[in-house]
Amino acid sequence: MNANAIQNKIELCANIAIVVFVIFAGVVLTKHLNPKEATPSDGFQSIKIGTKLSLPEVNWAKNRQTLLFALKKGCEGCIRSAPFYRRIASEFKTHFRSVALLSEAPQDARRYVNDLGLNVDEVRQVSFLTLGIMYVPSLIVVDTEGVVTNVWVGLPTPEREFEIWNRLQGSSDKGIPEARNEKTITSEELKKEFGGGKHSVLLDVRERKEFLKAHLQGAKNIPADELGVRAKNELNPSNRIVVYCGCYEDFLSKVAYHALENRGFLHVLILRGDLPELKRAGLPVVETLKLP
Amino acid sequence: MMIRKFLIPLFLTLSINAAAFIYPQTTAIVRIAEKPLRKMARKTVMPDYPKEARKRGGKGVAVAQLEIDENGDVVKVEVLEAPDPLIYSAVESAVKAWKFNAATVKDRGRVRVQGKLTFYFIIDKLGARVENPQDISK
Repeated sequence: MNANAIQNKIELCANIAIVVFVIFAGVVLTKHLNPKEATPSDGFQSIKIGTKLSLPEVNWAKNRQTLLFALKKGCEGCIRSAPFYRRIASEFKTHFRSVALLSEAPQDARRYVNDLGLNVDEVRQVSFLTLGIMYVPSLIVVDTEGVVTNVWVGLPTPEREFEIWNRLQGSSDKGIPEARNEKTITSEELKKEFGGGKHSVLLDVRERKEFLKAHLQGAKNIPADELGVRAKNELNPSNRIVVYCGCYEDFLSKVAYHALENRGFLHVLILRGDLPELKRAGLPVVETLKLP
Repeated sequence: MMIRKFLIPLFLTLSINAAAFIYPQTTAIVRIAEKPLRKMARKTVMPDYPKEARKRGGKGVAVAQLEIDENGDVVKVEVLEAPDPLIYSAVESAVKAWKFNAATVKDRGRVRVQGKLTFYFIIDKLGARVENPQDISK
């Protein structure tokens, strides 16, 4: 084999090695530098509550509070979150300035935001790393001093959607859920029923796996999202129905309350408090996992 | 020299493939309620009421969660609740055979859909039967 042939082979190997290295480096760098797509099981926050944010040419004090939607083109969670994001951008328009943050070039970013149907005040190209945003989608609330007051990461579950809604309502002083006049019952009043007298139907509106972990003795489980179909088939409108969920601000109970009310159930009450509280109040609880 | 000329298009091809690998196609999944989900169905299959389950007195509500692809085919079924193991299997088999019209979202095209289907397994003086929610009145 002459010297030229050997040289050519060496050059070929070197070229192939360069190509392979460049592709490998591209894959590695892309995975590390791009924000990851969050899953619902990911941690509650990426950037922290209390972080002071700085965006070029943004004077936080001039604005109302700001809702930041951190999105990325091609992110499945962003697409799936879009219907909910659209609703909150529209519902809280007068109380929050809304800004979509993307790492893509402005024109691409604007087109993507339009594709999602998200009506925001501004679309900004940002470096997620600089802002400390490690996951998309993220929804961030910033006050008039540029301080993060709330962060939600990933595709929100139905429970998280209601938590977000209630927090934003609270922040905007738009109206507290109590204003809708849901009737409630205390654990003391309910305790008397377990000892005899009036008998209510106890309805646990959480997901099945939560119900299986622990629930009030005698409770029936119909997840809140199934009530629309199942209520009329399984519950009697003339019965008194006590709804509980033990969740943040009783939001699932409120959803269930209004779903039942809209279907002619007029004797519905919400039992407030989480299960550990109800247990401490003396209500009988069936548990497979020990409650705190 | 020939090999160097060949490497440029090879490199470009590999780069494009790598880009496709890094940015995979994404598909939206939309959750919908049972009523609109049933309206989307173009083929429905009622679950059988297994004889053994009837003998045992197995009755009550069965709920299945399903995922439908862009073509309207059921690609995933999870029976969330069933009053009897045989009813569980019957519901799973039946729901897998359902077909739906493709769901579309404005400016997005066809999307995958996730929803729930409810069935009631009833044993009363009229006999044993399986009913959809709207068939039952109180």
